[in-house]
Amino acid sequence: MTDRPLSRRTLLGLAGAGGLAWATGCARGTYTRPAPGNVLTLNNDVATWTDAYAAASDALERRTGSRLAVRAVPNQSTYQQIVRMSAQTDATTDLFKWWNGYRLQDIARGGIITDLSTAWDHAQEQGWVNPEMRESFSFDGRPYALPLYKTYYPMFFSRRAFAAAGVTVPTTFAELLEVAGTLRDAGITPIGAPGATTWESIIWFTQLLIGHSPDYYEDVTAGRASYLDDTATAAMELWARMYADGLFSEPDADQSGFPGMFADGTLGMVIAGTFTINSYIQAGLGAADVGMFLVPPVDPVVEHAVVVESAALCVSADAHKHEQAMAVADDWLATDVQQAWADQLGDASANPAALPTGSVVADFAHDVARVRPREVTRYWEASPPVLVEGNVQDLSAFMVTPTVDNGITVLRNLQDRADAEWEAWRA
Amino acid sequence: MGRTVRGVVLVVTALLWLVPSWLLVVNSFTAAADYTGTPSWWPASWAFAGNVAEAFDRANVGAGMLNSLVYAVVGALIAVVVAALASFAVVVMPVKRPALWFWAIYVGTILPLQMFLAPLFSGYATTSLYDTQYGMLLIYAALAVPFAFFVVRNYMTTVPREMHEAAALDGASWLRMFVSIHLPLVRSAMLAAFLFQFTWIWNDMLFGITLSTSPNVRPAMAALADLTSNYSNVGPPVVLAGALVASLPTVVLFFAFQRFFTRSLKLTS
Amino acid sequence: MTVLTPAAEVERPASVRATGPARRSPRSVLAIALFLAPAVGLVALLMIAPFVDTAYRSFFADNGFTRTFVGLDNYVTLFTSAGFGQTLLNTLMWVAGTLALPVLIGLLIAAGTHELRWGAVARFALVLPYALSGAATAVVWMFVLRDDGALNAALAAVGLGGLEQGWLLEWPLNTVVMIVASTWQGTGVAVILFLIGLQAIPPSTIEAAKLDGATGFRLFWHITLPQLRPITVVVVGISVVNSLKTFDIVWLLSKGGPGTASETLALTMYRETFTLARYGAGAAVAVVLTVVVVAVSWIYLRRQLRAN
Repeated sequence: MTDRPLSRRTLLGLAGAGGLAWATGCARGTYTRPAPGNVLTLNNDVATWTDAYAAASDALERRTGSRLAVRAVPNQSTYQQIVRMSAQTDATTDLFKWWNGYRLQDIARGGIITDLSTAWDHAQEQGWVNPEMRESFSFDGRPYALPLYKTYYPMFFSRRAFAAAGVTVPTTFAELLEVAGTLRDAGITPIGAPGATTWESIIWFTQLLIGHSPDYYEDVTAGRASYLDDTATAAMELWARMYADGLFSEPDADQSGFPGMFADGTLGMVIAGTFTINSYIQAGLGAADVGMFLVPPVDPVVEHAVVVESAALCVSADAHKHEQAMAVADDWLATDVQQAWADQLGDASANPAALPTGSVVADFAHDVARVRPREVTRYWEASPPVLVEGNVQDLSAFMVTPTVDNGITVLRNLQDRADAEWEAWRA
Repeated sequence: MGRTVRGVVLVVTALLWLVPSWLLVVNSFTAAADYTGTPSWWPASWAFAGNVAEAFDRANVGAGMLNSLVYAVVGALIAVVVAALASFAVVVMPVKRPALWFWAIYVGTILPLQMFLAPLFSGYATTSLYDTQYGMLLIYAALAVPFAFFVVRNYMTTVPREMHEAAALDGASWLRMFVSIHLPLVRSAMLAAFLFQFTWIWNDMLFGITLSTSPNVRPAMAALADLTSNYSNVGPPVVLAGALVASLPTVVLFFAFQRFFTRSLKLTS
Repeated sequence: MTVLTPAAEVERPASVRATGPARRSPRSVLAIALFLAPAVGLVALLMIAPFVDTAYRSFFADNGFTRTFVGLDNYVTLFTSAGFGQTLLNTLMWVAGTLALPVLIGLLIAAGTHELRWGAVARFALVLPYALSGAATAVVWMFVLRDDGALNAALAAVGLGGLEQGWLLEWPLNTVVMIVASTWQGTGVAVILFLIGLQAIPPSTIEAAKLDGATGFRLFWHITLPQLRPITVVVVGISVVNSLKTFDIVWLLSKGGPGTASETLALTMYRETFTLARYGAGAAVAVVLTVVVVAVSWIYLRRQLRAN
């Protein structure tokens, strides 16, 4: 055959490829190799927390002798799937991050996590945690996870934009509307509000509900009240009016662009979790550029309330090193561990004594300690997951077409879904 | 006249196509502190190197790119060779029910990939393939086979029958016939299939984040995903700079492929 | 050109090719098995087996921890759900759009540039986006299409402010612009495949046609296009499959929203499975999607593979 050289070359190539495949075939992931006896694995969906986990791990090692080896799946839905799928296999980690509220109940019901009553009792005795938080980490009256951190949802504001428009921090909701109007007249986008395609559509819905009545918010999210109640209608009407007044950005605004707009003074305010401060610090902004304040209640006679988000730290029921993982859970909320963790995380801790050193977040946490607002669970965790996910999409649709009529339609959809999903949840 | 029209249409189309690419490049140059929150049409600063360094440092993109290189080269190569063998079988060899075998392989392009994640994860976890380079290579090679098969098989049908009938009369063995007649003739289709599958494997994130977790196993796109978390955002310029550098190998490959084409065209005409 | 096709071979008497090694001797059977085994094995093990598992799941109410057999309930719920019609419509829009734009543009660009000296430059512009990752594509198109994005800014700058739109916020506009974005990314594949097809056309065929006086469009239509048939089958076949399965670009740009207005079948499947953790319901969508894609592909390929 005339093509002999080619065939030999092809064969050589094949052999080479085979050799390469064989050489790499032995490689097992460094995170999933058998680890020394004192190393516990922890899975979570936030890759950027590696340093914070390392700091917490150092403090935990001093207390318990165990260290943390952390993995991250940088995509929330894939992460949830992996935790569910791996729970009953050998690939499960000793500890993992989850969400509190109904999302935690969902997996506690599945039997894949451990009862942490002793860890909670211990932490409460030591004064490491506010006992009020226990309920949102419980299923059937027993706690199944510890608070991983504690994020508040205050209003961030651009000091530059405020100075340019000559406004100061509002103390009532009427003043807040006034400030927003002044910013708008100065050519500044008053309030950044993303959510057209993201979960962030719940932020203003929740804020306006708790601004009217924190009690109603807790009732409606627990399935005890209707979305067709006057309170919800009033909140929706106010939301639509604020849109009509031009107080919000377009709903497809991008959160990652906000630090730049704050620096330029082209955006006035945004409600966001306190952890968001990291993105601002990343972009070179500090306390001289960004401030935070507690959003005042819509109705001045109603008590102050603030949305709180606390992810959950769970111990796998099938953990390889279950005993050590339980020891770590016992000490997770200790002040030194939480201080190391919060300093690196840049966010508040569930332990009131541990606040990130020298951060805007710490200043805000002091405000919270002074005002003592009612702390309500974020909407994302406050109802059964399927109900929340569907409602998020409807609220996003409202933000795209923010009319009063559409608002009423959306509320009707929310209630229809609540009827169906509460029935499914309780089944 | 026709030539001019054609030229104008081509130039306009190409320019239109370059607009988003231009935005990508320009904005990857912006320093984090200069990013205003909206895209710019002209470079706002020259911080490309800094952005790349930041992306590589934070997300361990370098190790990811090495892994991806192995997966993409070896995975696509295995897929193309396996596909060529199967094509030869269904096109040239006297297979009973070739249509059935065609569909048995082609159906792989049809199934919705996202649904494989759960069963694959379970399978990988129970067989200890989870988080191994071997496991990644296996899934990538397998996923790349059906499309490569479709391309190579259809191209192989254009090989004149007389060619292998003549060889068959010579008493050549199947393997020899495959290697010396068909393989050279379907080279360009195999190259194209390799190119597509290399690119597909290189750009995959879904299987990367599902079936692996360690830095020494994770492919580049899964590593890059670390940059965009809900809890901390490095900002679009860094994401773009990282993505741009991570895309360089595929761009270079396509560029090389263009050269291959012009050369082979010269040879034939 | 002699084109062997599986369907054609079935109808051909086996004796025609029973020469030399082609005789179906035991050795040949072994050889065939060895040639086919790797491809069939990989596909069966890593794709068909997971699919069978998925199909099985679709008959259960499954939350990842517990399963209850519910028969066809998941299918009934899917077919009677309010958004199903919209999902089908979007999927159809994607099929039509993908056949109209990337396939056609790819063919024209390949044919228009393959003998041009500077054609490589134009082609490179079209192929470049295909080489870019999904993450980069998403960031860039968000840049272009966001309300405060580049497209609206450019329109305002040239005095066409009246045309400014919330491109991703309204259906059907958002589906249309997402088809455009996917055309931007995917046309390169069609260009390269058509180039390969063009390369395979014997120069003598073209020369002969030219001698007969065929030029320009007539040459393209009567000579080039028929010769491109095998590769056209590949491009159209793949485009139909991929457009029916459209997921990535929609997920990255609109998440199927607002609400579920721009959802395709693949997005519905993903939402049910991953967002809502209703594995059985998601599996049912996957089965429906697969049946649709297999049916469409089979109808198309059966005719095309036999046509020659």
